[in-house]
Amino acid sequence: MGDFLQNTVLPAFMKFVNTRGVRAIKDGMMFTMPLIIVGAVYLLLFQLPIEAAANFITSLGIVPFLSHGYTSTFQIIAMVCAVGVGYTWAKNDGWEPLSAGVISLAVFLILIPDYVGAVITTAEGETSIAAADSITAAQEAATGGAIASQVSGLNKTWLAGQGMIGAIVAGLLSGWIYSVFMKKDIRIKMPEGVPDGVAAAFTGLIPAATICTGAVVIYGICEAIAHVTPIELIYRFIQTPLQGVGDSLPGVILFETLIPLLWFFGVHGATVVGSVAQPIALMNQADNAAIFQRGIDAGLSRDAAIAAIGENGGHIFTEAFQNCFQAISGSGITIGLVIYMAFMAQSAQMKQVGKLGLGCGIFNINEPVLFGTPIVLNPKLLVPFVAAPLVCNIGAYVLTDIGFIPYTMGVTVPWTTPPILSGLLAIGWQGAAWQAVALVASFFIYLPFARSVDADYLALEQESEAA
Amino acid sequence: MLTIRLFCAAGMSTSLLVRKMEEAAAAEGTEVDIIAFPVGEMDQHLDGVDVALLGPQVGYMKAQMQKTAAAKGVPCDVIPMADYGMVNGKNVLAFAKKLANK
Repeated sequence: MGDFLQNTVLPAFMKFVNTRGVRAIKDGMMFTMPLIIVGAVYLLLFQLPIEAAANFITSLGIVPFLSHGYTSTFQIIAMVCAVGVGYTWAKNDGWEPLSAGVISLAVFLILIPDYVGAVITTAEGETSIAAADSITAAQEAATGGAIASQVSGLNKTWLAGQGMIGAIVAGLLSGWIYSVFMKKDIRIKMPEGVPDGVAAAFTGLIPAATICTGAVVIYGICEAIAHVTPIELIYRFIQTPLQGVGDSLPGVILFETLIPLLWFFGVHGATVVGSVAQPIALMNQADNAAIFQRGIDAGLSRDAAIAAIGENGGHIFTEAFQNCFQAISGSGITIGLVIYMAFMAQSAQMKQVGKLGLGCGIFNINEPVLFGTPIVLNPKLLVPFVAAPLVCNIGAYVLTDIGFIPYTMGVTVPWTTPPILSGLLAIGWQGAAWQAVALVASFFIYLPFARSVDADYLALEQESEAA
Repeated sequence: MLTIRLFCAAGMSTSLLVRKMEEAAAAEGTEVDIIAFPVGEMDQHLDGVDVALLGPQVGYMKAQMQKTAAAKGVPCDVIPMADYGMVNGKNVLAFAKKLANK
């Protein structure tokens, strides 16, 4: 069984993970991280959980500026993702990458509506204005209402969570087609004597013209035939089902089981699973942030807006949820094992790894524990290594579902933020409380298994001393 | 002077190893220049480098990364798991020296 997994399943899985598309998505999305963290800090500042502090920020009069900073960082991550994916694809293929990124951005913008609303006139000659996502409904309500004119503008609805898969599609297609053009050397060639810099400016011209025109044609067809933009089709038929799977309890169980299983074979599970789970978590995060914002705009208080996220289509599995529960103290939630090793172990091996593991465990890093104990390829520790994160994540999921832990509302923290602090910042005391429970549970889950391994090591050490 | 670059998933867990390797090098009087980076940035950090080492958790990318390193004439291999886990700076330094042939 182990051999089968290691020799057949794992290589096939790795082949998938290392395909150009998956690598482009995984590395390309990393470019959104700084904006997400910076945006989350703004959001935290103008939506402080402590009322006195929130009032103080409001009295300073800087809330509109913080809010502007937030929407211009966090709420444009789909745009950045399009650039990143196209850029990374071209870079990995060895071509000048920024041109591909720029083309991807243009393609993404072509796929989304170029209007933010429409002016509707009824048969009686009355006019009203409808937002972009309710034009059809407004037309029906006005029985026979016609679109008098469209209100043009960059439609922000699609620039973050809702547009994420569209952005990935734009990035992948642009990166791929661009690289094909470069490989086949289809580009405008300058006569000899033209400086390299000038020639380079023309390199991207043919692929840009082809790719962008293709996108415009697709947009035109969708609008002409179905009165729908391509991004709406992608959202409805690809993104919504994907988000549903990632946000379900079975989806979360699958992710959280795969991560320790891959680590068991020595592979960085979080990175590998992240290539699929990360985009979903980010979209869900941005969706929740948008729902929260709508609540605030409708006049709800901070707490009421958070409480309303769940019933308005919010998601449990988000980037913040991941950073708070997935790998606190490191993949496999190994803090229990580390505490045992540092303070209770008899064998020299375990004592030493325990000491090494304590410091980095606080920041959710545990490679010394994984490779030093080792947990990798050690069947004796596989059960607690899978069980501890499952207990933590299933618990967090269910507690969010029944309303004890609040839904995440856009604030997130870097994954290296120490547990309990991370829960407190991103979720609130309920999140921190569950993290504390999970950390304590980790100790008892690992304890019997750690004792057994410790006894083995001690016997080995005594044997080699006697010899 | 031995220039070593370490690569792991995010460049974080490996920084602990960097310190231990520097201590080991100081103890045996070898002059070293060691920095850790995320494996995704490997191609930018190979100029003038004697040897590139991968953390075992990104060992699954070995073939691909060896190709990248070979293009710049840099030997590249995966750090043995036990040495990485125990943060054994002395052993990893010896491993790097052997690879670099210095």
